[in-house]
Amino acid sequence: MTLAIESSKALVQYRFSTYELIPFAVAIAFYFVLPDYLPLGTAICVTAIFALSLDLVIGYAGIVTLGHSVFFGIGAYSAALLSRSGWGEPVSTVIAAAAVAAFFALLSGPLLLRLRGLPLIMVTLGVASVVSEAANKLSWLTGGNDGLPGLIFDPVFKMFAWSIDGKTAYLYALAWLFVVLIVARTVVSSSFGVALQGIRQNELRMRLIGAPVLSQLVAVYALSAGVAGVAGALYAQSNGFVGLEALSVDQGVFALAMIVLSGIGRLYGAIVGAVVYMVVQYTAQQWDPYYWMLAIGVMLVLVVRFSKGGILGALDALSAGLKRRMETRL
Amino acid sequence: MDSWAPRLAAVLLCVLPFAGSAAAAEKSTVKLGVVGPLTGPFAVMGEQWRQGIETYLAVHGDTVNGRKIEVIYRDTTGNPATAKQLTQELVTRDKVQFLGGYGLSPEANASASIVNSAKIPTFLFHVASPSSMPLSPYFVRVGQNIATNGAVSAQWALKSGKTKAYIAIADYGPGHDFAKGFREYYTSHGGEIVREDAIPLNTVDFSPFAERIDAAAPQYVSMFIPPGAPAVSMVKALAARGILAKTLVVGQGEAEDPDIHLFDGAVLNFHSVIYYSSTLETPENKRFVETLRTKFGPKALPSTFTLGGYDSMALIFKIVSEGEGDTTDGDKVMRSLVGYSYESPRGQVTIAPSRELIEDFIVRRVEKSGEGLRNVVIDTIPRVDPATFK
Amino acid sequence: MEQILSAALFVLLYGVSYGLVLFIIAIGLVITMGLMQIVNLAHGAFAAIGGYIAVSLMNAAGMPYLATLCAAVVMVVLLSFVLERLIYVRLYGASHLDQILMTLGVNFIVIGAITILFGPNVYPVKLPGFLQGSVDLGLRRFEVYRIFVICLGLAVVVCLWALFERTSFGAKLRAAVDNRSIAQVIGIDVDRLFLLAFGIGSGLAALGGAVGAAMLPLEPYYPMKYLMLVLVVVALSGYGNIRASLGVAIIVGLIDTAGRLLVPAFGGFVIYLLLILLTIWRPDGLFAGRAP
Repeated sequence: MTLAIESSKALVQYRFSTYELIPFAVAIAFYFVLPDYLPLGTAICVTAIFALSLDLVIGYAGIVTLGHSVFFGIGAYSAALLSRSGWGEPVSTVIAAAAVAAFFALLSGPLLLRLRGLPLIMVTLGVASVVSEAANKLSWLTGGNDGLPGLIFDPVFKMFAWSIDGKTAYLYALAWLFVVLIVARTVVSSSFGVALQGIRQNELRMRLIGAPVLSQLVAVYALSAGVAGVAGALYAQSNGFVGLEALSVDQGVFALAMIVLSGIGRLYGAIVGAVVYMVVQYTAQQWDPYYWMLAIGVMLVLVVRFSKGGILGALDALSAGLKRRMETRL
Repeated sequence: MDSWAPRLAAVLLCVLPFAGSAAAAEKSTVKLGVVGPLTGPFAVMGEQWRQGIETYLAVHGDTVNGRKIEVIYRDTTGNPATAKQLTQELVTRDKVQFLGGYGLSPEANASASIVNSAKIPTFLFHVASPSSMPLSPYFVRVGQNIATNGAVSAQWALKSGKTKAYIAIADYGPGHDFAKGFREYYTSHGGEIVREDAIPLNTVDFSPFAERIDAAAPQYVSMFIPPGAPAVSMVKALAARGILAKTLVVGQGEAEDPDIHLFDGAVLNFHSVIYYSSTLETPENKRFVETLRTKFGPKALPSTFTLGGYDSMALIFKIVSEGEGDTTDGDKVMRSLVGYSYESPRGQVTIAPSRELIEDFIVRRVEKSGEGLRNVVIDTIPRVDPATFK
Repeated sequence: MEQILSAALFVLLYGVSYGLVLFIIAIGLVITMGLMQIVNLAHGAFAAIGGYIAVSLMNAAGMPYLATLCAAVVMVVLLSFVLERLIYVRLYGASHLDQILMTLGVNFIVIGAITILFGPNVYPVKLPGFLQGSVDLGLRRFEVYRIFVICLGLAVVVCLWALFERTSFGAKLRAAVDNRSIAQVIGIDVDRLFLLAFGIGSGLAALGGAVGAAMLPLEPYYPMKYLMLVLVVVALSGYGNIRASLGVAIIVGLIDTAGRLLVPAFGGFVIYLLLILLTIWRPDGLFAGRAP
C-alpha cells in the first residue's frame, strides 16, 4: 500500500492560480452569512494555521512528529505573558511569539532531527509530555491549572477593537491565515522546498549530492514551529485566556488526523481538513457527544484504507475522471 | 410544478433552526445556558448537573411568574477555550439570561471576560478554585471554596486531637490551593505537618505514595485527589496497607455516594469534609432525594455536582419570581442575590458579599448502612464564611 | 538501616509486580512491532477490551475469576483474528504514518464504543476472595494480589520462552523474522504465522488488561492513557527483542516506583526523561540486535 504522502503532488505550481482564492471568498462570505458562528470560525482559522504548520514538517519534509503542540503552547504562553507584562499590540505580539517558538525549535532541532521514524516519534511524544508536566509545575509562570485569564490586547492597527461578537477576532485570524498560507506556498515552491521533498523521498541521495540535510531540516522545523507559534498566539488573543490545554498532546494528534483526512502535503489540505474536522466535531457534539470519538475513528480508518490523498485527493481523482470523460466525448 | 413542495420544505428546514434563535429573549422564556463537560473524562459532572436541574424542575415545575424556564446544555469536553467559545455563542446567539456549570476552574476563568461584557449572572455549580471569583463580579459560587475546605479540615483535625498531619494532594492547582488552606490554618493553630506530597497527575501506581504515608506514621492524612480513577487507586492503595483502618484519612469529594461502588469495599472508614451528604436529614433533602429517585431510578444518589445544578435552579427561580421577574439588569440581579438566605438540601445557606455561600460543613465517614456503604454524617461545622474562616 | 531495607524491599516487590503487568501487556506489541513491523497503537485497546470483558463477566454472569481471564483472552484473540484480516493485513509494508493513523482510528472507535456501552466512569473491579488481603513477609506485608501477578507474569515468561525456543512454531517465527522471503521459499506459511503471532500478542494484552484491572483501573480512555507506558517499554527494548522487553519492563517498573517513592515531586518526569535520553543515545533500543 503506497504512502498517502507519496500520492500527493510532488511539485507545487510556482504561480498562484485564481482557484486558490475560492477558500477565502468562502471565508469572507461566512462572515456575512453566519455572523452568529464567528467564534467557531475563529477557532477554525487558528486550528487551520496549526494544521498547516504540521503539514510543512510532515507533508513536505517527512519529519513525523507527535509533539508539535509544544510550539503551539509556547506561542500561546508567550503571547499571554507579553500581555500580562503590559505589551498589548497584537500584531507584534504574534510575531514575537512565533519567534520564541522558532527559537526553541532551533535549539532542539539539531539534536532531535538526527532521529527518524519511530525513535523520532517517541522522542517528540516524550518531549511534549515533559513540557506539559513542567508547565503544570511552573505555575508561577503559567498559572498552572487555573491558567492565565483576563488577557487584554489593544485594538488591531489601533482601529479594530476586540468585541464580544467576535467580528474583529475572526477577520484578524483569517488575515493571519492568509499571510501564513502565502509564506508557506512561497517556501514550498522555492528551491528550498524542492530540496525538502528530495530529503523526504530519498535522504541518502540528497546527502550524496551534498545537500546540507540536517540544517535544511532544522530550518523547516523552525519555520513550522514559528507558524505553530502564530496559531498559539492567535489562540491566546482570540480567547483572552491560556491554560494547560494549549500544550496538550492531543492537539497534535487531531491536527495530524486533519491533514491526513484531506490530503497530506497540499497545504490547502490542512485548511480543508481543519474545516471539515471542526464542523463535524461541533455538530456531532450538539447531537450526541458520545458518538464523537466513534465518528472520528471510523473516518480515520476509512480514509487511510481507501482514500490515499484524503478528500482533496478524491476530488482530484474525480476531476481527472471528469476531464477524461469530457475528452473522450469530444 | 409538484416540485415546489419538497423545495419549500427544504428551505424551511434550513431556516427553522435560525428562526428559533432569531426570536430574541422574549419576556416569556428564561434561558439558562449550562456549559461544561458532558463527554470526555469529566462527563460525570455534566450528567449529574442535568439530574439536579431536572429534579428541581420536577419538584417546582418549569414555569415561574408566567415565564417558562429553558435549559440549553453545551459540551466543552473539559476544554477551556471551547468553554469560552460556547459561552460567547450562548450569549450572542441564544441570548441566555443566565449561565451555569463550568466543571473546571480554567473553564470558568476563560469565560469570565464574556460574562463581564454581557453582565450575565453566572452560577459556578461547584468550581472551588480561589482564582475564579475575583475574575468576575457576576460569578456566584454555589459549591465551596477549596481553601476554606482545607481550613475546616484543619480545624476538625485539631479538634479531634490530631496534631501531626500528612498532606497528600494531586499536583495541580486545586490540590495546592487546598494544601495551602489546610497548612495555614493547621500550623497557625498548633499543628505540625509531618510531610507534604504532591502526587503527579499521570501516576498510575499509587503504592509508592501510600508507602511514604505509612512510613511517616501520621495521625491525620489530609487528602485531595480528583474523583475518578486517581481517587479510586489512591484509596485502594491506602486500604491495602491498612492505613484507612488505623489512621484518620480525610478527603472531600473522592468518594461521593454515587461513586462508592467503584472502590470494591476498600473505602470503608474513609472520611471527608464537605458541604453535603445524601444522608442529611433535612426535609428539603428528603424531597430532593425522593424526587431524584422517582425520575432516575431507585438506586440513584445525589452528589455535590447534582446539588450544584439543583440549587442554582433554586436561585434562578428566586430571581425570576420577584416582582416583574426582570432579568435584564445583571448588576441589579447580583445585588438582589447578596445576603439572600434559603433552605438548600444541605441546610440553610446565605450568599455572602463575596458571592460565595455561607454554609454548614460536615464531616462524613463511609460506613455500612442498610443500603450498602454510604457516607454518614458524624460532625457539623456550622455557618462557615469563606471570607473569615482562615 | 531497617528503613532503607524496607524501602528497598518495597521498590523491589512493587516495582517488579508493576513491571510484570506492563510486560504482559507490552509483550504483544513487542511481537507485533518486531515481527510484523506494524506500529499498532491500538494495542492498548486490546488490553482494555480484555479487562472490560473479564470484569463484566464477573459482575454480570458471576463467573469465577480464573474463568473470566480465560474467556477474556479467548474472545480477544478471536476478535484480533477478525481485525487482522480486515484491517491489519493492509498495513503490512505501509508507512509508519499510515499505520499510526489507522490504529489510532481503531483506538478512537474502541474508546467511543466503551463509553457508549459502559459509561464514562471507572468500571469497578471486585477482586475474588482468594486474592484479597495480604501476607506477612517478616520485614513487611505484601498483597496477595501482587504475588499472584508476579507468579502469572513469570508463568507467561516461561511459556513464551518454551514457545519460541522449543517449538517448531517458534522456530518458524524466528526464521520469518530474520528473512521473510527465504522463509516463504522453504515453505513456511508466513501469513498464517503472522496471524497466529498477532493473536498471541493480542491475547496477552487482554490477559494483562484483565489481571491488571485492579492496578490499572478500567475507563474509556484506558487505550490512550497507558499507551505511553507501553510504548516506552517497546521502544526501549528495541522493537522486537522479546528477551530484552522483560528486562526493560521490570526496569521501568522499578525506576517508576523508586522515582515516585524517593523524589515524588519529580516522579512523573523520570520515565519521560529516561525515554528521551535513552532514545537519543540508542535510537534502536537499549539491546540493539533483533533476535527474539
